[in-house]
Amino acid sequence: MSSLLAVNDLVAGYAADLPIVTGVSLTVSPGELVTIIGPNGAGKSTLIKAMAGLVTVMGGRVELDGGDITGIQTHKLPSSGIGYVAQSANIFTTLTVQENFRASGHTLGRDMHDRIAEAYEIFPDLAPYKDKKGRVLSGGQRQMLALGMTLLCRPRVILLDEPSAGLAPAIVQDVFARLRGLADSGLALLMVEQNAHAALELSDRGYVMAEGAVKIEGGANDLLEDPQVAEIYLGKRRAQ
Amino acid sequence: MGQLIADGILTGAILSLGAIGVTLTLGILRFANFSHSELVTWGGYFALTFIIFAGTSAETFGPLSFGWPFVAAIIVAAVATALLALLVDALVFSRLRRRGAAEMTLVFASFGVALLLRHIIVLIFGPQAAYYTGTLQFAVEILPGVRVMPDQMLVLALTLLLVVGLYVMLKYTRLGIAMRASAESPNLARVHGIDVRVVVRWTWVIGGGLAAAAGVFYGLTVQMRPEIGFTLLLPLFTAALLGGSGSVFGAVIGGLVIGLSESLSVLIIPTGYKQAVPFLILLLILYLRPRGLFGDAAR
Repeated sequence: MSSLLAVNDLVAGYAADLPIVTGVSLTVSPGELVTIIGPNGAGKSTLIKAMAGLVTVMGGRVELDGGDITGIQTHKLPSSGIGYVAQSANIFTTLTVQENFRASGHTLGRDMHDRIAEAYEIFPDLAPYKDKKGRVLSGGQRQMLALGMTLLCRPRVILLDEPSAGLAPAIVQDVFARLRGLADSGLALLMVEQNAHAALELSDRGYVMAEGAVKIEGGANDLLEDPQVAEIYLGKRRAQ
Repeated sequence: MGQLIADGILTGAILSLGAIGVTLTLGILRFANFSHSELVTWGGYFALTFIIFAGTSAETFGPLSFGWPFVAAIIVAAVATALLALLVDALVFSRLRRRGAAEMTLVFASFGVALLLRHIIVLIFGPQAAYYTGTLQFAVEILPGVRVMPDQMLVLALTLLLVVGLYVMLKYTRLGIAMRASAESPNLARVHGIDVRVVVRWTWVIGGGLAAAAGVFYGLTVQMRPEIGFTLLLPLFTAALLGGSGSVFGAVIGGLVIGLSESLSVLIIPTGYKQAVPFLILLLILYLRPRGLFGDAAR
């Protein structure tokens, strides 16, 4: 299957002379759930933020369906077919649930109300909280709202930065099941996860990052059984 | 006592309009813009300039001191002040934001802009006081012992209209929700397709327009002076901080509290000290409730 999202030799970081991501290449195809794992400080979140235009790209190229979207202006993500779910602070806590949807449907025009109604059908748990402020939602509800807000613009690719962060294990399973379902419906999902084992179990493929670069890549099941993955991910060194 | 309350509400209403711009800048642009109160002065003088050139109508609206030319002057002043706010942002603040300037750099730049704006007014109009109209008005007794000018009642009604209009805009319109979203998290707003640069421009337009209204209302009910902005600087910031950074509703309540406190303070302190009241309230806010009465929660 041809890739929908392609990253080629990407270099990115916060300071011009100090790149955090040092030449990463990866691909994601429609219907695929791809997970990036790696130890803290590996550059996973920086990579995904650079793809979303939130971190300066210093080199390399990001392509969506063959078109160059390197260094895209972040507010053009939804209209380009890209959704991004941040790790934390991914909903507006001072707005109501309904206003959160309206904020994320900013560019939709007349379709907005129909799309919001659809979002409540997909995430019925949010409907009773329609007029409640985002701050009263539980961690799981916040993640569902964040996902619902992202889906409102019908993206082709969703970038997720640690969707399980801070969630109870039972909620994590629910969130992951939803993500698998989205991939099965034809969306391309790229997620960064610390919860490596659980994430790889439902993923199609994975990349292992360390020190700003991809060290290992392959099928999710292969990575789960690869002894090298445990070594890099856990930061262990082989006995010399 | 009743008269002092009426005077305090009128002063508070004008302060509220100015404080809304301050709180929007604090909430969305995330810096204390000390030049905002000079937009109040410029708004007043834009209206004065229009009246000088267009002339005043002999026909006034009933008991009010003005006619149609003054209504046009308010609209011209609001548009011109909004454009001035955009110009200042384009020439100073947006350039600093693009360079990633620290918040304090923006604050000090706003001090410079304030001085510049104030002295341009003095250069053009001179330091003397000016009035929109020479029409004499008689106060009307609205309650026993409480007399109010018809112009003052109109100013209160217009202020209420503007505040309610702004509240409805922020609560229900696409732009209003985008402004509130951008105030909470500019990056999250961008991720969801909101062009924060457009939101910033609208923030200047709305803040500038309301500042102009405050300036014109001040000029109408008191007098025009080049140092209006300097005089209102502390009360405006105290009102905005009392209400809570980013809270429009809070800014309105803050403005009324400051106006009433100043007015009622003459019951216990000499009149000459009443301008110190906002400063005292500011100290109390910073000590007791730094987030203000409605900080974040009431956005």
